[in-house]
Amino acid sequence: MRRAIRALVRKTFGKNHSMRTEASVITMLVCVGFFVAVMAYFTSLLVYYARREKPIDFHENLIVVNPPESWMGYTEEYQNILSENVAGKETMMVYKDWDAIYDVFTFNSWMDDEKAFLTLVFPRNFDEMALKAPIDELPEILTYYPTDHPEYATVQKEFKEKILEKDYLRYLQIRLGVPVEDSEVFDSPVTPLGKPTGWMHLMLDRGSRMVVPLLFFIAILYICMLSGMNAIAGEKERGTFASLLMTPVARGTIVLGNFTGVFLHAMIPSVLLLLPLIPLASSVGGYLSVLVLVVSLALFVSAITILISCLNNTIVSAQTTFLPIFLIILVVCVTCMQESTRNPINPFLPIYGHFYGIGDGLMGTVSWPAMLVCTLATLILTVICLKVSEKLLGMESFTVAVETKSEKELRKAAKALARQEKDYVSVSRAEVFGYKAKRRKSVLSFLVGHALLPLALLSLFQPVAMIPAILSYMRDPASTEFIRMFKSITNVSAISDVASASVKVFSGFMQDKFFILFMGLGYWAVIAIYICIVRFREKNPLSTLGFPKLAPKGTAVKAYLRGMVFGLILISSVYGLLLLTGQVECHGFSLEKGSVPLFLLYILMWIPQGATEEIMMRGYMMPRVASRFGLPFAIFFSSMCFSLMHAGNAGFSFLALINLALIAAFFAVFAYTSGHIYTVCAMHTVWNFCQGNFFGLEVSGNPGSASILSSSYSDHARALLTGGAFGPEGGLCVTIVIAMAFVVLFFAKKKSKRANV
Amino acid sequence: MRHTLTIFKWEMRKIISNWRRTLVVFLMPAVLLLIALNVFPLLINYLSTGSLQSHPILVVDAPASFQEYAKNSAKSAIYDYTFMTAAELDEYAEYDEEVLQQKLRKGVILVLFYAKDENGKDADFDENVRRYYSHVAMEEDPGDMQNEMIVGFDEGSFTNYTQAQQFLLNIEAEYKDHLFQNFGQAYKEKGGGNRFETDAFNPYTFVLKNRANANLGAARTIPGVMILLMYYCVYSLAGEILAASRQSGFLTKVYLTPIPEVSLLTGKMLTVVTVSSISAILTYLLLFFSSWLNHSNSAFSLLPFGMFLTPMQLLYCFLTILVTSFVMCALCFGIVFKIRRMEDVLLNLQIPLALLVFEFFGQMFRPSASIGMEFLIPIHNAIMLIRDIFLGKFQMGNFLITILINGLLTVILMALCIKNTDGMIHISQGGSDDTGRTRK
Amino acid sequence: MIQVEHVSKRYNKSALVVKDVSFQVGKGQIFGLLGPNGAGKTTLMQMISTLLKPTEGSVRICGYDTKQAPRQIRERIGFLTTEIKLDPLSTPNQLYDFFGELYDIPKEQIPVKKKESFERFGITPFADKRIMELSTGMKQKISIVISLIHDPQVIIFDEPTNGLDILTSRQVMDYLLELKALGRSVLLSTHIFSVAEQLCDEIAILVDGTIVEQGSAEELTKKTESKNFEEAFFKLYTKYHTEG
Repeated sequence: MRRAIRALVRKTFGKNHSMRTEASVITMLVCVGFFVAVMAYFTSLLVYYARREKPIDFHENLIVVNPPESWMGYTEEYQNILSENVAGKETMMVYKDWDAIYDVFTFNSWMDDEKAFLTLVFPRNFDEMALKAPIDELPEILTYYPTDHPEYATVQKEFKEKILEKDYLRYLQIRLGVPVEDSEVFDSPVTPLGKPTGWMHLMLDRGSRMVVPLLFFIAILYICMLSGMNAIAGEKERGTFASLLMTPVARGTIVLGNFTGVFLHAMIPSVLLLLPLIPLASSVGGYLSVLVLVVSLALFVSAITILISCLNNTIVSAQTTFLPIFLIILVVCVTCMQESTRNPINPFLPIYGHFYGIGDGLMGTVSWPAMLVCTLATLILTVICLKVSEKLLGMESFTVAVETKSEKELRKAAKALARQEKDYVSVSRAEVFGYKAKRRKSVLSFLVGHALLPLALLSLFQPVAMIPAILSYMRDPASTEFIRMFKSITNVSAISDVASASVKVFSGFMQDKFFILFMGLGYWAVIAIYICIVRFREKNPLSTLGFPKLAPKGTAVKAYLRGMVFGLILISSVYGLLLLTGQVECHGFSLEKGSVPLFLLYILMWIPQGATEEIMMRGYMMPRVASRFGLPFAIFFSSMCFSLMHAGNAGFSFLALINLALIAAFFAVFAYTSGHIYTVCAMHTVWNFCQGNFFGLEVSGNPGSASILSSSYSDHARALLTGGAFGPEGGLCVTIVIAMAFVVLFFAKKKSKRANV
Repeated sequence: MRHTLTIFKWEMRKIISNWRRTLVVFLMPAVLLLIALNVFPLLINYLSTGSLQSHPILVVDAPASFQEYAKNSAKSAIYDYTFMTAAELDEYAEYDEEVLQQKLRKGVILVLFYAKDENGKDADFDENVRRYYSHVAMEEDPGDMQNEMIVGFDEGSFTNYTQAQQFLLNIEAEYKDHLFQNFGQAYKEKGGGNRFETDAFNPYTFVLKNRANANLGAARTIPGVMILLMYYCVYSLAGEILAASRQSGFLTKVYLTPIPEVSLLTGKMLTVVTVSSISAILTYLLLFFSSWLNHSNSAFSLLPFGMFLTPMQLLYCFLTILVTSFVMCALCFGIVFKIRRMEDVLLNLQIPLALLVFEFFGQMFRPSASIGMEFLIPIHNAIMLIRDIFLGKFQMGNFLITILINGLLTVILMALCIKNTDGMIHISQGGSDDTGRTRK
Repeated sequence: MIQVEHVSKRYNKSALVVKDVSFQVGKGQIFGLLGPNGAGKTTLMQMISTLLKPTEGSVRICGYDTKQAPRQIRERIGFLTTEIKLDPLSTPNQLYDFFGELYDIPKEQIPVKKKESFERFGITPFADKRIMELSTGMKQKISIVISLIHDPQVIIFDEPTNGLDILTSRQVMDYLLELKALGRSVLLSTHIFSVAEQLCDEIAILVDGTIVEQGSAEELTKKTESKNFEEAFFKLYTKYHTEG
């Protein structure tokens, strides 16, 4: 056994391994480059401490938008205050007039043109509000500064604190004749309660406690990684490990031999580091404790590398496995470095204990019990690692690398192949729109993918559609009110308030032409994406998306027109029912001339909107789910997805969930029986359009505007029937109408069947 | 050119077809980093205080106004107050200054109140404030009046100091306003107090203000980390598609086809550059989100809330990354071509990685600005340039020098590689590896 | 087609591995290199296939010199050796397409040629499996197919039947004969006598980097006055091999 170990150690540690590594010229040059970089680093530090760094070239002017009379008076009286500023140049005041006080773009371009470091925006009625003795509401001054340098934020802060909120405020107060308060009376200083420490001692302390342990850690980790990965994993990769296993040497001996070799490797840099520390150490005992800790650390890390080496079959994979451990240990080191105060338990733990212990040993503040416990724990862990490695070498999957690996992968591949063959099912459970599944994914990823795809697309495109709207809005003076609505979201406490506040914001958007336009475009983009998925990814004809080529040329158009009529009938009957039961009052014609363009944009938006939702749920999802799980489940699943997609809207209730699912199911059955989705697309569009822009009701929680008729709930309206804030879809009326529609559809189908027979 | 594309497509397909590896190459380093960044403040908190919760703040002899403020303010809700009298504090500290010091060291912050009336005698804090405002309103001299809130901490602990500062920064202005609203009635009626607000609601300035802080933080960590992770990506890929495929002899097979060596190398290089650039961009995105999700506002966040670059800055960043990935790739290829043994190749490739780790730590604690000569050092200049972009000190000249130097080095290294085509061939001299080596 | 003239090879500063070797392979000829392990067969093969440059002497293939026009030569040779492995993660289909593009085979011809050659070697059922999932024999067959993808004039096979069972080696040998009939020149290295005996028109026996005897199997047997080819080889080997 001893001879075996010696042979193995020689093999791992010996000449023909990494000790005689070849270094390329390029690596040398890299090291030289690094050295130059380090020199440059220190040079820059010298420059920094000599305060020779070039100052930043700041802008020097100030833009004041809508300057009130008081500001003019203030600047006239205190000219000298403004003349000296950040850059040491003279400040020029530039006055502007502008109504849109949140118009960042204009302000930015002004600041570029005028070389200004700050823009002050006053509200129009600033003086009236600010110069009133008991003040009701504080007027708000807005500031803007250039984006190109973060330092402008500091400049702004300084300006705000020194000039705006101090001098200018005092000026206003003096004009009002308010007695001046002395803010010095209220002090809240941060007062230190501590002892100062000596500079030299501090440097030595920091060096010993931070730098030296880190050097040990990096050296040991790095060397162990290199030689450890080479030892067993490297041999497996080269295919020489099998021959070693064939010899009558015990597995434990192999592990021990390799381990010793790696450990000896790790000790080389450690010894090199330990020697120069002798004069630095404060006591013999301290130095001994450092020695013990370094040795135990090297033992521990060597054992870990051997374990990882046993687990992996190639050097690269072993190193990939080891890298996270390397990083984690480094993170632990950094956390130890950051802390001058420490948790009392940490010095007893391995790694932590080593880091602290090395520093303590050098500084002579050794805690012997901590050091002993830490060392002991490390040794125990080392033995465990080695035992596990030995056990691993007893298992065939970790021993004969190349063969077992390919065998393992063969088995895996065979399994995958079997699964694939099973997955290529030519018979689908139910065929909708002529869709046939080509290959299968696992059940979970299939369903989750189908449920998440519409959500992902919509949540991508809706915010994108908002961006141009917001940008165009900010240049508009009317935006001030609108932007303040956002403030209302941030100022609420309960979740329900957030919902109502966002509805307010959203309804603001719904009146913006840009938003409607871009939303429409966004829906077209979603449709395009679905078409691409079907055509280029699935490589199926578009008929599987519910858009078959129908025989006579105009059939599709006719189907669409028919859908519009059906939709009109459906929504009219809902509205009629609401009118009849006296839930809704109609106030007559209400479309104003100004909102006609918006109205037209709405029409353009509802067309792709209806089509998008139909394509998502009925055209795409239904056939694909049906081929896997059958038609009933497909209808149920797509309806639930459709319904839950609206769950975030205002006033959503259980009844709304059921109703939306019912509507979706109706559309699904209709699409299935007709074999295409032209008709349902039109129905969907007309339903939403009429509801929002014809009758003036709310569409699934989204308030409509620019409507032909104007309606409102009557005083005795009951949310159970009308659906309240969610719109009719949340009420029983829709339930009734859809139920009737189902009955009609059922009979029509029966009739057509009879006619066919 | 066509052959380059063929090689590029082949290598890309190989990388992408193995999704697990793709994930490792693209995301693993970035995700690891993300976790490290977010766990870092938590860890520090835990290590310094022994708990993950917010730090207890000992308020001694608190006036009623402060107790009320602490209860109602949203800003102070994140703190965990313990109210006690002076006697209780003595008991808590076991009548020993040393013990108090030790307790402070665990992250406890001490708040004391102190008030002196017109004649310099001790007074009730709240009452003193009220009297002060009525004095001001009546235009009387407040005399030696003094109201002080003292925040105590342990000077030896940087953590404790930062926490105390943060605490004061969070509550000072609000508490003063609270005092004024409660006790300043007389003064208020005379027209005292604020006449206006500044940026009470200005999303733009809010974002910029946070950006200023966050970008300074980001300048410390992000450049080093991004280049480090990119090198990790480049090195593992270069090892895989050049060294490993040479080892298996497949590269020789491709080499034996009549395509020019340049195409072969540029195809492989393009793959490495594409993958590493994408991974760097993903890393940036992850860092960006991690910054915007960081609401903790902890003083120890490595990446504070609101990191933000303008599109132009992003473009410069991206171009720098692209050029750097070329030079890194050329470097790795050069090393692989020079050295035959796989283990030696990996070792040589890892040395720059280790150096970059040092570089990262160096940049993290660097106070000074870049100096001109640093832009002459390839790869290092990319770190400096990205750092300057975050600091808002970007200079076109430095950018051009960086691009030029890195581009030039890439071309030189590639030319060397192409000259040394033997590097592509795996030849075991004679039958097996061992005999070959001994013969050498 | 292949002209090897006074070729010597030395690695770094060690002794010569190949010493002054000359031979020629004509059109439609199968030329065998026979020798023990370490005789320099592989080195010689690699020099002929442009992977290594000869220290002295020259190799010409189809009139091109390996040192001056390696690209032209690579277009005209198919090289197969056990040292060169196929990418384990790819499928035969992918490999064929890849090399097809590298050898500049017109796009529309690739699928046709692929189908033909895959069917010939019975690879079709395995065309979409990864190389690492296949047996050694199948791998070798795929290697052969891919080496010959561009229909080369000169075929250089280093131990093509190594590790193959009798059936597969039979198949490979038949294919080589077929190629010979098509007028291709084949250079073959092997240490299996039966293969050399059956296939080769001419055999060169390589001992310690030099060709000690050259001729057809029968000629060699006659020359050395042996019972069979195997004995002839042993006689030659013991005669010329020097220890150390």
